[in-house]
Amino acid sequence: MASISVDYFNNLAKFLKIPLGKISIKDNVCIRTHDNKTTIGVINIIFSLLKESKLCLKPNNHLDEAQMRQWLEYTIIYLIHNNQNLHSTFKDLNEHLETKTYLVNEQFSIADAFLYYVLVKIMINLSPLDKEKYIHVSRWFDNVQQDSTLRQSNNLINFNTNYLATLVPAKH
Amino acid sequence: MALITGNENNPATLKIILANNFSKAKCAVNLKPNESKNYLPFLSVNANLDLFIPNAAIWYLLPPEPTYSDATSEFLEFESLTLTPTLIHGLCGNTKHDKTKNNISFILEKLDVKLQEKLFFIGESVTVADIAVFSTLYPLYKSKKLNEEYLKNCANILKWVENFEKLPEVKDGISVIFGEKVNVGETSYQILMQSAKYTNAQFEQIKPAQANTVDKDSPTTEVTQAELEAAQNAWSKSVLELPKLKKIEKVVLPKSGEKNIFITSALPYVNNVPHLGNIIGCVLSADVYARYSRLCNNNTLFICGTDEYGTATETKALEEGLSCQAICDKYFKIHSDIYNWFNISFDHFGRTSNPEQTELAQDLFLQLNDNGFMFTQSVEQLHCEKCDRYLADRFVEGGCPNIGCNYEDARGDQCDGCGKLVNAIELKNPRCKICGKTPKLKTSSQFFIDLPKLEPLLRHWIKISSPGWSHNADVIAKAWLKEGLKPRCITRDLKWGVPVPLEAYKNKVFYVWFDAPIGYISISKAYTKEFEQWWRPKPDTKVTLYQFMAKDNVPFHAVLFPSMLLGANKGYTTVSHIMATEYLNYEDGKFSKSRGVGVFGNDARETGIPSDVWRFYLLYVRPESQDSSFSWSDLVTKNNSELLNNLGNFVNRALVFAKNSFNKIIPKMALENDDYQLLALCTRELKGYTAALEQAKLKDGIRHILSISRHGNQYMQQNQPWVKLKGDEKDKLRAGTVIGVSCNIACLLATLLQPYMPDTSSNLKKQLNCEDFVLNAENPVIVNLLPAGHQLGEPSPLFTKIEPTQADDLKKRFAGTQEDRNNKNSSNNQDIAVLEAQVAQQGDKVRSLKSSGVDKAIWQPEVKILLELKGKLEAAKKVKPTPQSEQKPVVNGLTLSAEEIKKLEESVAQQGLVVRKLKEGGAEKSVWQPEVDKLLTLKNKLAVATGSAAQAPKGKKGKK
Repeated sequence: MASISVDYFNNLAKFLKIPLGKISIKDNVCIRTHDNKTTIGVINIIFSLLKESKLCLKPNNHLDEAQMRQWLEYTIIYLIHNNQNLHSTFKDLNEHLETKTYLVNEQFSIADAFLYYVLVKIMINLSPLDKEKYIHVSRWFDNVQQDSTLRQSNNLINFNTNYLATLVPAKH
Repeated sequence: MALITGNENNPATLKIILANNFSKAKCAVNLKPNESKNYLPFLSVNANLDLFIPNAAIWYLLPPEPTYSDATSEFLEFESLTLTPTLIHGLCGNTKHDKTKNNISFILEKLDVKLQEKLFFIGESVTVADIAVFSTLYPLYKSKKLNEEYLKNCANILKWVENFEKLPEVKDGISVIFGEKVNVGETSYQILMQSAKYTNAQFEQIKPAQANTVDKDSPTTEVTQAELEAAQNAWSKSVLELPKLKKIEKVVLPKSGEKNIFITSALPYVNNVPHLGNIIGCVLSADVYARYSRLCNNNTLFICGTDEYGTATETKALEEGLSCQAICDKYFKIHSDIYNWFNISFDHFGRTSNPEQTELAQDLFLQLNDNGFMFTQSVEQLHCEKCDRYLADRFVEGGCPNIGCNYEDARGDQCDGCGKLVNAIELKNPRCKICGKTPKLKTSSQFFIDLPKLEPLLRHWIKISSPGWSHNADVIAKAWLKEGLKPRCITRDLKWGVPVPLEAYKNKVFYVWFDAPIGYISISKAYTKEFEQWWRPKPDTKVTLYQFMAKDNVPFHAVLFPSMLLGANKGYTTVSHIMATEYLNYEDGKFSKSRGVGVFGNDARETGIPSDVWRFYLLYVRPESQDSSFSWSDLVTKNNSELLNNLGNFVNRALVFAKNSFNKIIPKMALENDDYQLLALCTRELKGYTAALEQAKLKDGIRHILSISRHGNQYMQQNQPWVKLKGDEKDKLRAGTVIGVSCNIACLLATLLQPYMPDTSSNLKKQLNCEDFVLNAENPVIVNLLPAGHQLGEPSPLFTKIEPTQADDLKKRFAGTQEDRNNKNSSNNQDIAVLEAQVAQQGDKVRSLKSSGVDKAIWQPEVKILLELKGKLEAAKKVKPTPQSEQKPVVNGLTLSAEEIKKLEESVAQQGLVVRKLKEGGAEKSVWQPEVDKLLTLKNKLAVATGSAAQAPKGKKGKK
């Protein structure tokens, strides 16, 4: 079982353009100390970052918030903690994303950002065939990775499988 | 109207029901879902939106007051990320460790503290925190057994549950979910886990793994009774009962009623030196399969050759100032030498510029033309009158036609200024790259193959053939068909190629991709006049064609070539197994022939690493289902850990014991259960090996070989023949059995290694004094290969160690492009380093040969090589005026002369011998440890002495 890493919070804070403060992880519990305030728990920390940020990514209503919580918890349980059965998780995530552009409503949210930072490390190692197999995950990922402030120092991952057509030109 | 869908006995469903009861929402509830949903429970907020994570659903149903929001969220996270996984892990696995028990107790005690003197977790009323934790703990609380086990010391929790349980909302929820029978305990957590598909992996992890899903590096060691009996049965048979291995005939032809395997590897293009990626992608993979197929007694033909026609050759010829033919001759030789060095067992390595190619390509073209699968169409092209030739894209330059780019020297296919693709006829002020004159636009008529017309035939064929292809080949071919086939132009206005056999087109040649695959047929014809037996076999003879390639070649072999053969309608053999690899990367970048990045066939030879080790490593990292990378340090690690310490160690131990204790004769063996257990395990690996190789999964095959020697090492370690040899008669018989069985396993390995490492295999067979035996792919068993009384040969180590420092040197040496490297080599700095490495390696080789006690005749030539190398090194050092002679190495502040160093070296070698002898003889650690210590001290002294000598000039350079 892998555990959550400080990197994810660093990425999120940088993306939200706010100071992160200090993160410590003890017995699987994440604690953030910033401005003499202590926040405990991954989801609490992420929402506290959102509150401090000037970006308009706060949930619009209670239902949005519940959905964000859902996807944050999903990402932690199924992708961070449970990373030994990635193929079944990808299959499942692919089904979830089949009808979605973004995770929550038709709008980019912090849940998308978090999922991006978790997935980017996995997507790099995915073969083109797997990218094709999990086409909806690929589509979602390719869409969100276009934002360079989100991407930060990560490279764009290639989803173009159309290299065949150049091999034998139809005409010369 | 919101709807809760869930299942009975599931604590997660209880959670949502309770939240619903406490809130004012009053959602409808469905506990008998008829469609199989991914997750249970879930809350449908509306037709398009399900909340399937229970804690998100209860957060939605019963939001906490803003002041308690953070605290509530903290508890929910604790519940979902810590409490639930720990309970599932501890209660659902079928092995219950004390550790997981302790985990549960630890967490519950922590929770207990938080409930001290409190009725609710947060504030003075029910929140979702209480609901979540209560629901999850309830089955545990209600199970008498679990309650006593875990909640004994948690008085606060017990009190809290008792109170909570009495609330009417809770009572109602419990009766809905659990009915009368609440005492469900573990079952409930099983349901929770399955319904949420959650922590599945952990569950699987604890389950004893199935034989076929086992991690290949750590094989299980349990065998079934049936396997044991089969192993025992097989062992009672002698090797003489196996069929004999066929002699390889001078010309291999298919025979009716036998398995006829025809293997090709993609024809390498002649204008470059192949790099390691090319080698593993086609020729090496095909070679392993061909060698395997021969071991199975199949009639096996393996051909390949260089692909020589086309523009690229013309370009290269211009570059090097040679004629096309001369270029082809030159590079054909280079290719041929490299493959020779890699021990590729072609039955024939030909070339496409042979006369058979002209005849067959023209013939096939005419057949297709007669059958109506060709048509002509006019195409616009640039023509240079002075050179009297049509200009291929690369032979024309001019102003970039893309708007906004004023680059003057854009090439006919792409502009280096803006990077955009260019259509050659749109260039501004085009000029011929050869003479500089302005070419004219001319229309010329070209032949097209009518693939749309052939498409139905092809589709039908692919349906039958593709089940035998590698996955990527299948996907690529289907992607092509999905896009729909288009006519493809197959002729060009070039000179270097097969001319079109029609009067009006006699100045044109076939385009390289039309012509290249026909090379397979023409090279077969160059090999034997009876080639039609392979390409158009008689109805009673079945030929199975395997084609090996990298994935970029799949379209030619899966679509174009089969279309041509099908269109000719003469019963040609078509491919049934397209075996395509992904790409091999170099360190972290890409191999590139055109830019010269990476390690090339001829470089490999110059590293001094034996070709077998190269073969082994390339096959070990074969990019089978996804891209993989070549790395120097990994190469060294694999050599030292897998070949030297695992495989080499096992074989050498077996043989040295047989030599020292049994005079090189296989002793009498009386097998016991332990021995049969080993044989059963090895049989399992052998089955895996043949199954993998039958499907050309070459990478897996290697892992099975290594697993066998790993079993062997374990077996020796467990049975300790070196101890038993000193015991009574019974012990001695036991030791003999262990060594005899180990030698038999070594003999098995010798044959299994043959496809992968032919030199090592023949070396080992010589040491064992045995031959390859026939592999029976349908029912592989381990018979008694070396019976008692069999005379063995002289043992010697199979592999040598590669020092990690050498990997760093090589990495530096092969960094950058080939061109850079050539420039670097002009300063002979590099040469010295290379020579030094070679001297060191050769020195090791001589030493190990001598220490193994082989005949002088064998080690004498090696010593000669060593002396030659040393001479060269001296010469190289003289050329470079380093102040080497002035600087004397210093040991502990003392200056050492060359003579003293030599003495030191000698004593290291001597001490090394002493240690090796002791260890080989199976002496106790207490006996050899002091000797090892002595050796280390000596080595250290020597390292200090020579190290300072070797590093002094380098250090100086660094300071500049």
